[in-house]
Amino acid sequence: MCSRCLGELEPAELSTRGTVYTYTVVHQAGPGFETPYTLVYVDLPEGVRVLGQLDGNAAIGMEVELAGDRFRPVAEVAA
Amino acid sequence: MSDVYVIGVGMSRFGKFPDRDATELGTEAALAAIADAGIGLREIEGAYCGHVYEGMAMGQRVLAQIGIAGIPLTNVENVCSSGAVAIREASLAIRAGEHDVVLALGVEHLTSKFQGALAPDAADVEAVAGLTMPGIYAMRAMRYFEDYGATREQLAAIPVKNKANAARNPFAQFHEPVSLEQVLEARAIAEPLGKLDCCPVTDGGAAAVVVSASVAKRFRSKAVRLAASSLRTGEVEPEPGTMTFESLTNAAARAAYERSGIGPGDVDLAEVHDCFSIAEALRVEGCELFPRGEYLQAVERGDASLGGRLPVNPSGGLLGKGHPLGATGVAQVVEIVRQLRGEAGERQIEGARVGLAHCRGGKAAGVEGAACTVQVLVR
Repeated sequence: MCSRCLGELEPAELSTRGTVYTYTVVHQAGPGFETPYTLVYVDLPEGVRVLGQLDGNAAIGMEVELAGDRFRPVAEVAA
Repeated sequence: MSDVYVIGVGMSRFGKFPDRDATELGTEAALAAIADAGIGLREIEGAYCGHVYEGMAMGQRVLAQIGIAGIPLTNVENVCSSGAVAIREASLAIRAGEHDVVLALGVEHLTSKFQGALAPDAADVEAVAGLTMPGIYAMRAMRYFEDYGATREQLAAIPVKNKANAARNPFAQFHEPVSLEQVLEARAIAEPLGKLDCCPVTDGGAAAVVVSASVAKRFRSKAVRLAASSLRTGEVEPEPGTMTFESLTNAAARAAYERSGIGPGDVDLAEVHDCFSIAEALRVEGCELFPRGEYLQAVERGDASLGGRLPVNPSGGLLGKGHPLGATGVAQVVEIVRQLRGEAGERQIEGARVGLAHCRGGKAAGVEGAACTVQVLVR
């Protein structure tokens, strides 16, 4: 339920493009993860921040988009 | 409502002790605190024991060793703030008039439970994506650099400072100072953080004897007043906010300042939860001890070192002294009491009168942080 109004939640469609708020390259992880990998927090236009892995080099402020369950840089797609 | 005082503190050495267990470390700490107070075992009326991973009846195991079983005892789990919450609960029992003498204890034998970094709960939606505890703080560091124009080299000065302090603390896990180069060249954990930016896995115990004003009168030379002991839980986060200022820390600090009538400008030393180098910056800024975005410059100038304007983590902090989860919050109070009594030896801060301890722990999906405590102690 909604933690503000205690009302019902319903699914909402979100953009698949957003802006990198911050990132890291993880070199030590738990079992089941192959290192290194890049993690990004991505701000979506709807006001939601999501965590995911990024293929490619990250920078704060860069535009990324979802490709499957991972992000990739938008510029790379255009090229 | 009685004022609350700490009249005795004690701790085991922190470190990796494969041949010892939590009961033994807790017993050593409890006996040291009781001896430091100079109070009779039979005068202890209640007890609280903070721990995270030690299983059922941890505090009972310790009290059975020292023969004060039978009294009301409560075990406390509140992630990395567990020990600090044990002290808070002791203070509440005294303020409520229920007890006059309470033992607050914290213990953890972490090396028997974990090897590397502690992970968020495996069911956490972000853990599934590969989030690690160092990863969370690494991302906050990256954004801090961006927001405030700070640098990796400035950040590396925090482990250098804290390990130098630990080298002067006989109870610390590490006694070797490290250079800036060593911090920068250490094995990468989550960029920009390297191994020396991360607190170690540690075993240890710490204890404090917490009493009412009427009992404290008998122990004037030792008593330090616990002027506030605040606890806050993270707000839900429906919208993304900044990751470079801790509103949870700020809420706990403001509650402590309001309760104690003491402001950030009155604080002479601080022990804060430096689980990672960047965490120290977020915590002191959240407590309003340094202006927002300026802490790394202050560290570079030496303002937070022993002898500086406001020494931070004179004990060595989590980075240097070690971080046995449940014991950490109590050990911070051990250090502050020793500093305010002038018993801190080689790391003594001259004339220290007011100390602040900040502890913060855990992450639950959807909230900013699980638990945060701020305690203000006054001599």
